[in-house]
Amino acid sequence: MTDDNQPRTDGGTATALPGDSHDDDHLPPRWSLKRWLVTTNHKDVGLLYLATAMFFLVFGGVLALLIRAQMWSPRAPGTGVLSAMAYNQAVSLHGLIMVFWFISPFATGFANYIVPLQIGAEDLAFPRLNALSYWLYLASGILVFASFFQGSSFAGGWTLYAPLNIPAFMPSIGATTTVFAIVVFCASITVGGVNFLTTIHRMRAPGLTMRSLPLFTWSWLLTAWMMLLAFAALLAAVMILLSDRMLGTTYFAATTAGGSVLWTHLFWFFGHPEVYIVFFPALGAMAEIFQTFSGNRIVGRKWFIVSMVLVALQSFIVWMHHMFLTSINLEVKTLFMATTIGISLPFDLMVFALIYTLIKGRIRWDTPMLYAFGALVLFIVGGITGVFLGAVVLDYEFRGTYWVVAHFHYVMVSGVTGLIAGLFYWFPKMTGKTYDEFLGKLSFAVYFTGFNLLYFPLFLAWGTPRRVFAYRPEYVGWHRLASVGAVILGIAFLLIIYNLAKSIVAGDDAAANPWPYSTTAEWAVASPPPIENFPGKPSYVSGSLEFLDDDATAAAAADGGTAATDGGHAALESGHGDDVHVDHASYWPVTIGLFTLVTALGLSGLQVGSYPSGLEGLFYQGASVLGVVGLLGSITAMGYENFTAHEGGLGEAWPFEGVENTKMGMWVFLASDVVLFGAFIGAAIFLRVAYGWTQWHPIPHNPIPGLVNTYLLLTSSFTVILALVAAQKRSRKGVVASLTLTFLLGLGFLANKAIEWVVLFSEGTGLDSSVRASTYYLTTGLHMGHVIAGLLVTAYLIWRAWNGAYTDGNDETLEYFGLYWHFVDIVWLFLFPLFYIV
Amino acid sequence: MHVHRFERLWFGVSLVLIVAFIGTIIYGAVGPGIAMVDDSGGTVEPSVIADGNYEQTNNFREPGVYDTEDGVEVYVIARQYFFQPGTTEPIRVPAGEPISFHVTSPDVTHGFNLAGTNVNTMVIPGQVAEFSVTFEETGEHGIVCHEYCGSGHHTMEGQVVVVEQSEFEGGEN
Repeated sequence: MTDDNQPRTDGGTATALPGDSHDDDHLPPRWSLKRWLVTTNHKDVGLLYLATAMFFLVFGGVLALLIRAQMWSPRAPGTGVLSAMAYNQAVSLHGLIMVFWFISPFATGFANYIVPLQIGAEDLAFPRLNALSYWLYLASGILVFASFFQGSSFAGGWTLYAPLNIPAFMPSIGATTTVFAIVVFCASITVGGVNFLTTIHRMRAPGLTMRSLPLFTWSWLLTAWMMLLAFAALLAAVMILLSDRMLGTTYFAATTAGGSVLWTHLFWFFGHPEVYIVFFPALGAMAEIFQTFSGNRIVGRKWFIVSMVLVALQSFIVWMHHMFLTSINLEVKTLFMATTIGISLPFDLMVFALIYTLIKGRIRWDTPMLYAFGALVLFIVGGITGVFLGAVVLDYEFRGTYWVVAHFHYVMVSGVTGLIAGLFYWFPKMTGKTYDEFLGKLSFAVYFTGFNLLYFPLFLAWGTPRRVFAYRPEYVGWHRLASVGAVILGIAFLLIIYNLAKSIVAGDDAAANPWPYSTTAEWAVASPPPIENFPGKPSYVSGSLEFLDDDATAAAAADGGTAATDGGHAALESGHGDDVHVDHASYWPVTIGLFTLVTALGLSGLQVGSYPSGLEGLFYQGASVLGVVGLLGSITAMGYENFTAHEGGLGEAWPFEGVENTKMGMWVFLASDVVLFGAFIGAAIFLRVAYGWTQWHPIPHNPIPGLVNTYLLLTSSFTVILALVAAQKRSRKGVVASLTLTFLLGLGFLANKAIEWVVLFSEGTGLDSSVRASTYYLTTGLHMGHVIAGLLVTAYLIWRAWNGAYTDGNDETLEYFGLYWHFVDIVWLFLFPLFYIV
Repeated sequence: MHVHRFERLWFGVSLVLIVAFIGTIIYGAVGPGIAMVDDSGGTVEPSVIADGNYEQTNNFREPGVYDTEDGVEVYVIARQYFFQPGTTEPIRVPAGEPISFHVTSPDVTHGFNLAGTNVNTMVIPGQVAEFSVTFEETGEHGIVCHEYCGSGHHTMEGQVVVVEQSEFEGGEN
């Protein structure tokens, strides 16, 4: 639960007063390894993301080549390059790695680098959280890698279908590690999502309204919203799965009715938005490139944006089309068929807008344009073949066949193609070097040929069932063609990597703006941009981008929350002249990432409540303890660190002008937490309906302790408000007393809960006794975890308040903690009736 | 209002596409009569199937082929790692008449895919997948499990043999 208190701890110090003795930027030079470990600058983090994602592309690509080698001919089990289980692992991990550890982080890399430049921000709202989301991503990637060496990695497909995913059917420790890796990845996404949403909503330059936001930033804004909400549902799913694997709850066991269908709902509620999460950044990059290389503003810009918003909304109501072959009644299926066909309509509009932009413009076929155009062609093929799948009747025919494989590879890899276009487009900006144009064009020719040779034959061999390597002999030719195409596509990627690597070392220096007709702000600064991005304060107030005198605005920024409320005019009221120092380095994100890795590795050894025996068990237990201790220590240290970040709200921040950055971050985080709890509560209700609503009785015999706890929590919410009032009256005693009272009330809640659980355990009602018991323990347990996290923060706040914090006019931290604490109370108001009374 | 030539072209092309899609769907539903899987099969406790207590449930019978008044009914259990019936002895059904399949699983999710036909479904523990199909010609079809189901997944195969109606021995009823 590392992500729980992040926004808060970061915020506590982001508002620290300037004037602490900071060096100019603390940041070691680029050739130093240390720089890359401690950097919090958005451009550095972006490059880290891109490089790591490329590594996972190669990793996933090698797995893909192994799969294609196995598919060279129809095989009996035990023949070919892969054993049966190795094949299952290769396919599962190919999917997981490409979707989670390659495409999304690859796009995140561009977003990190480009979005702040496009909106005129010097950095993201929470630079350390940005670094943290990268290190969590890397930690999760290392976990996936490690899973291959712990018996066996996950071998049940990237969809992790239940009940195959529980230890009874997949006992290897590596499978747990894979699931843990996804949990850590979700945490990384949540942290990143909070950060980007706060940044884009709050830190735009004056005059840069939502309507004039560049399209790549628009696409990323929507991606970040979808990520935040969809990944929260996935987080709930994998947390429940982890609990089934590690603690022995029985959500997904085959003995419960509905467990496997529950998994498909949870997974695909995330899974379909994920398609757009993957594709949107590519779409945004394509839109930018089409505009630059056709010298033409996109046709129907407003409608393009409206379409993107529509897709982002609709993406949450189509998930059941992945479940047409499960036993859902026909009416519901028809409804979801309609929503699915419906979501293709805004996409049609966007595709037409892109095509029309080209038709009306004068196209220059540089490498980025070639890739972007290729991406559009491939996406159209992928999109049209998908409409067939969306139709219920046709899906019965196609589902589970290579038609699906071909379709989603066309869609997903067209997204990759769009991002490769972005890679060439922004390469000069990010490195200050120009790539080799001939090699670039050559790589596109090889890429496009390889791509179509690889995936198109799979449409023709569509009668091949998925997930097996036996197929009818008449398809041998098509499969061999695909395997050859896979090798060619692999060569294309090597060409791309070679071209870029060579250019970084020996390329010509790039101009600030190498592309005629480019319009977005990143091209108005040097390549690569300096650490503070802009030569002055960027402003669009006059109608076009200008860099204003820096000093005045920067000083106002240092005033934090007070200046934030009056928008663009903040610059006028400055005049203290004290220079603001902004930090760009922190050791704590990488440390937290490291201890997360250790914790996850240690806990992965836990299976149904027990560690392996002997030395192995000792290793896992030791790592668990070391990891948790290190994690608590490093999070506290990060909270205590003095770190000055740029404030938002100096330019356009509609509609969040009056909301300070950290508060906005907290609200966004709570939005994702609502989805998390919603999924947990939804899962409990789903299982209860499957079980029979009326036969299901609450686990606690007596609702009175629960009722007492309700009062305890409500009172503790009240005392948090008292603390805030005391802080406003500058009463240190009052703050400490109120917070201590809060702490004691929370402790009382926990003690009450502990007694209840101990009694239940002694009566023999354990986590694995029944699905009823499982849902009760896990859902209220998740809430208890939130309470414990809250109490840890309260203890920290008491300590800080004792030392005089919060009574000096900076009481925001108390307010933001209050938001979290009230939320935890409100959740209890839902849990109490559901698990104690009904 | 002036409509640009390209716009009219796009409009025409997209109209044709939409009509073609709807046409395909209607053809699929009415023409080849593609088998539908919905919730009509009902649910069954996986443990009942695992223990073979078929008398405790009213929507599943002992695995086998039954020639009833309502037509030929086939009850299949997909389990790690075989189809019962299907793997050790093939499922024998007559050509030219509708066959109702009822498939369920006592352990994990399996697939039930008849190569070369449009029979294709997921078999989810706790649920009975029910669908009907008519084989026009005699011949043999391989059954493939195309959902991951564990280490023996790739060995999980079976066979459906379609025979002339005259050669079809009723099975139990």
